[in-house]
Amino acid sequence: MPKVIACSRRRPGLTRADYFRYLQHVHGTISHKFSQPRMGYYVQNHVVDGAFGTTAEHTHSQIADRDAAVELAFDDFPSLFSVFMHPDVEKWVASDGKFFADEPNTIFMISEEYETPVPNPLDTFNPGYGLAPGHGGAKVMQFLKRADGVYLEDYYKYWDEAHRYAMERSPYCREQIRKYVQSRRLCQSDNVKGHFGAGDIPVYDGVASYWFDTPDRLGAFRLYEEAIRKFPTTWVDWSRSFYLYVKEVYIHYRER
Amino acid sequence: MTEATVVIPPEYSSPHPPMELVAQWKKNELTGEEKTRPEARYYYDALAAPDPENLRMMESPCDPSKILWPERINDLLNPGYLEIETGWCQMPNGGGFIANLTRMPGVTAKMAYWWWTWFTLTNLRYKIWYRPSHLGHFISPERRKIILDPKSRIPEDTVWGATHHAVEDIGMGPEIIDIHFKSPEEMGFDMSRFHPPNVSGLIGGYGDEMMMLVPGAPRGCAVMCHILRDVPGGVEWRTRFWMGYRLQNRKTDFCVPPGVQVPAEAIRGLAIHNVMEFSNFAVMLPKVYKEFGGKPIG
Repeated sequence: MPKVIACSRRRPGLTRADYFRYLQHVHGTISHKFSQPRMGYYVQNHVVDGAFGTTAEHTHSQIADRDAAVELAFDDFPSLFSVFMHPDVEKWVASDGKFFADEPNTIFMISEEYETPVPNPLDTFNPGYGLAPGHGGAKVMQFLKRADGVYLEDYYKYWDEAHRYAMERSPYCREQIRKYVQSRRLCQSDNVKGHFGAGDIPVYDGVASYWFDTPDRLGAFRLYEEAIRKFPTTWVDWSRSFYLYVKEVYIHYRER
Repeated sequence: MTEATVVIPPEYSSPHPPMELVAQWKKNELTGEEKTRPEARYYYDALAAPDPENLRMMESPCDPSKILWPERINDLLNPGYLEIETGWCQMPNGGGFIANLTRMPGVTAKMAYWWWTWFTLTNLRYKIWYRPSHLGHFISPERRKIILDPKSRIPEDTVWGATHHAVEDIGMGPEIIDIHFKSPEEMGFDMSRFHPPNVSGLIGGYGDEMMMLVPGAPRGCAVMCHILRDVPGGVEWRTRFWMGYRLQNRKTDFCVPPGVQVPAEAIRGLAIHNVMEFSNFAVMLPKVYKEFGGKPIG
């Protein structure tokens, strides 16, 4: 299923509270009206914290704040187009972005998801969690900038290898991670990025999503993140990569 | 063509060849190193004449009501022939359809798989296939390792799952095409039916293209299927393109927005190119395979 990801920061003049209120209660409400049966989900990931680049750098090389990353998943491209190219969506939803987002600096992509099983998709603390395997109360989204000169297909190969490498070297993360999904950018992103008003901004070929039970387990991700950066093959430009701790706010979710 | 006129957006999927190199490829000139290679002599061979009947059928569009839709790809495993085996048209949904049947005496599926392994290592080999349009070809370092590994299986490791980056000009200016080759199963074929006598091989997958000289041009995509069937003395090479489609999870997905139509000239250009390149391929492959086919890939 193709999935749209748009990662933005708040427009000038808004507090984070202003931004989240507008994004969820105004934009989310308008958008929900245009949900359709072949839309899998629309989730707003509200950023709680995050880190940009690495501690090896003295200053940031690019924009170093992001306030939300939204994800909209569809069954197929025709259903994606039926939403994004609907005249009412263009009139009401696309035009709403300027009221809360710094649109020219929005990172945008159409991607497809690849889920890799994790060793412990369930918390064993409370048997009730068995009703919702793979969910967690804390999520990390890691935007991985492909290193210059690396072929896209090699980048994906290294990504899989680096993930296994990091999982082996971070046993606490291996124990705590409940779900792991790679979102890989499709070239069709270039054809429809106008909806989000995205300008000439960096291209991210991959976003990794990690779910943990609770925010206090996010230290597990830090161990993983340190480990994956030590993967011996150069595949990511770490100074232009970043990760976000987010809170999921579902605007639309289709029961399966 | 000057470098200043070329815009390759940063989101292009892979490192691309310098435009000076592409310009040199356009001149149909071999480099000094290429000229020293034994396969270079095939570059100078006269091009095979295309089948005039196939060319005639590509002059104007076929009847869209008779085409094979990608959802029915398994009909290619039926005995006999489909209604349109050679032709092209704009599909009612905005996509583009191409079919082309090339009879290839002296060719086998084994040869085809070998070619799709061997030729990937150099530009020259892509060019000897069809020099008027084939400008260059490159693969990633990891793919090269697989091709050169004597333990790699042909076609499971070397063809299916590969990504190629081809630079060709079929009349609309040079374009880079990333072609993602898939196994028959990944293409959506019913594997219980994927065996002789109705099929002996598959070269297929999907491609994403980018026009190198047209800034902001939409990125196109197409599903490509070359299905081979043994006939006495050779194979039938049955080609299908569904332009505007991509593959995911063994299914095709139509990526053209509503109201947009794959241009007729783009479909027709690819259709005629397909006739030309596979006419030459049918003659070139047995000769090249005879000389290089039994040797280690390198």
